[in-house]
Amino acid sequence: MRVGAAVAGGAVLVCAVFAVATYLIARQVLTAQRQEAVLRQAYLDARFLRSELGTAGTSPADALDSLDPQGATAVLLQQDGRWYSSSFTLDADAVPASLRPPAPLPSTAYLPTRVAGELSLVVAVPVPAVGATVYEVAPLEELQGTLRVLATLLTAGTLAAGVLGALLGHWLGRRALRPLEPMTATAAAITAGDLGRRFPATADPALTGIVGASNAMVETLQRRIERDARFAADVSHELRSPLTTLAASIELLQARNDGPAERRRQALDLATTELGRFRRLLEGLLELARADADPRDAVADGRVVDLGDLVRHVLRESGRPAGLLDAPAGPLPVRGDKLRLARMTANLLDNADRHGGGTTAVSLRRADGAVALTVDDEGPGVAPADRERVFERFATAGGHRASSGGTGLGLALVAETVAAHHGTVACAEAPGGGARFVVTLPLAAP
Amino acid sequence: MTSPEPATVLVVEDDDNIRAVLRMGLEDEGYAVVEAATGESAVASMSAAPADFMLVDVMLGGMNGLTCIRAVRELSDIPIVVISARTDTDDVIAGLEAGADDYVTKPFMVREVVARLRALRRRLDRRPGAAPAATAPPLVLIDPVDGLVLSPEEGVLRRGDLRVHLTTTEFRLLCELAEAGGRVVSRQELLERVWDHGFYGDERLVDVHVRRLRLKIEPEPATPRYVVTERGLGYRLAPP
Repeated sequence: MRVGAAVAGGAVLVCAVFAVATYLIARQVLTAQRQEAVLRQAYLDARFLRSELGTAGTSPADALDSLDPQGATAVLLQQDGRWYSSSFTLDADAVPASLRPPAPLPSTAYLPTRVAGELSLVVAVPVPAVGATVYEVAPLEELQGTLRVLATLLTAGTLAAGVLGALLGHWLGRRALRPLEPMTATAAAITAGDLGRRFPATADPALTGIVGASNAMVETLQRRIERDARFAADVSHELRSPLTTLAASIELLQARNDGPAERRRQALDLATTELGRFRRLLEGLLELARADADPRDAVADGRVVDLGDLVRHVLRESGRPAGLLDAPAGPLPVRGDKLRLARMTANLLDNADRHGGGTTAVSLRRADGAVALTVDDEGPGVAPADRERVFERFATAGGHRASSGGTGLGLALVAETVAAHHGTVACAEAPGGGARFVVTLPLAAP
Repeated sequence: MTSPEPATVLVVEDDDNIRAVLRMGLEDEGYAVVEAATGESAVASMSAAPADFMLVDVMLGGMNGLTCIRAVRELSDIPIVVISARTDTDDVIAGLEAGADDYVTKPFMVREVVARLRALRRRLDRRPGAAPAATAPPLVLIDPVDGLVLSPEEGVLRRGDLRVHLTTTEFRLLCELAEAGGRVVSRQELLERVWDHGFYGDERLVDVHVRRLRLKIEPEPATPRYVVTERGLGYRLAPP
């Protein structure tokens, strides 16, 4: 619609300028031609009358009669204050005062004027030889008519151009927008929830770019939404299990209220254990949610920590022998968040204990401006196919869920923390056949 | 429990703690509990010593719950109750299609599980030896041409001389329809009588079991002749 209006407006503007110019030039040329013709006729008439009145001695009235003026042109003659006219209707009043005596005209003069209601050109030619002035009164009505027709035609042409322009513009607009129609429909379908829909491929080179980019955007959004939905489903599922045990064990506790103390304690123990799992799970989820919502650069925001000290501290605090750690002499400075690094180390150790039958070795090694933390266990190890997947949230290594009190989030949290510290984490096979987790963090400049 | 031998429940669940709490709760109610953490060990356990009931989590690792249900159904027609984490997905229906009789969703109360098992137990008790229901005729002729005869007293359905194999729930469902003598029985009524479910019971239970029943007794299950759907009302056993 707007394209139509714009094209119509443009057409009208161009045509109007063109028409006005045409009209002005045409009027200029036609008026000049007419003036010239009238002047020429006036000279011819003046010459004839001079010869008639001078040499032939004919009376002015007779001279005028024999003049036989052409068309509607009238010739008036003024001699010695007396007026003679070739026309029955025109007399001296037809001649504008400025062209009339007593002031004798020095030369030929002309003036367009209204004579008997009609626009006419009055030409005055002084004929001093016979003491007369010849007036040629030529109506310009014909020229005016021609100009009116021209003006009408040009105006009509301009309007027609406007209408045509509007139609053309509308058609062009429709044509230009038609390839966008399927895109609109697709966008509406996607908005309505059909995330599998893609914008149709187009041969229009102007659209291929935007179609490709839009499809890539929808693709990314779909993956993101599906991942989030999967995670949300996993979360609700993972929360249901401890909740089930909690609710059922409290129900048991209630039912066994009057029973033997031993049976009450059984139920209470179960509830307590499960509450711990529930709490760890919630903490892990909160930490991941925080990391998702605000992915901060732990290195830029962090302080320098000695990784050797940190690992020794975690071992001591969790009641493991500090001698488990095999570390080189000298400082091992890394930059980052001390708390998160400590939790990351604790998660690795917990994972080894929970799924790998216990931590067998913890070592730190310097390598190429980085430090590698290795944790080995003596469990069944992780199949090569699962070595990437174990770092996913709620990953089910070997098809088994975290069933021995694990949250299924420990290694995902490790991966999250390591990534925030510009490091890498990998799962491999330990020398004894168990699982080996290697975290590599960049050494901080001393 | 009236029977001297406690009924055995096979609990198939990969979450150690849920298994533990189910064991405690069921033992408190007088059941004997056999645990299995995987589908494979559940099937092995069933082959070795058949249990009276099975409680199975559909979201097992390894052999999934559905495969486990199908494998156990091959061995036995004991009541199977599915434990599911979700109510609104296809999980439940898939479990029922695989051969389960009923389901509970996490988080459940032990009370609820016991109530489900009791309802299934009651049905078992109404089979051979139990006092016949007043309205139940001893023999119901379903189709004289096909020779399809239901004998609620004996707890069997025969086609000619051959016994048609039905699970207890399918058999009970057919008996309820037969007792109505050709009248329409609503899904809600069937839920109450067969499953002991209240007002909020899941009517999908009825539909899935009717579908399974038709597969076993109808010549053409897609165009049922015996168990007819009365749209919006319920089901009806067409008179012979």
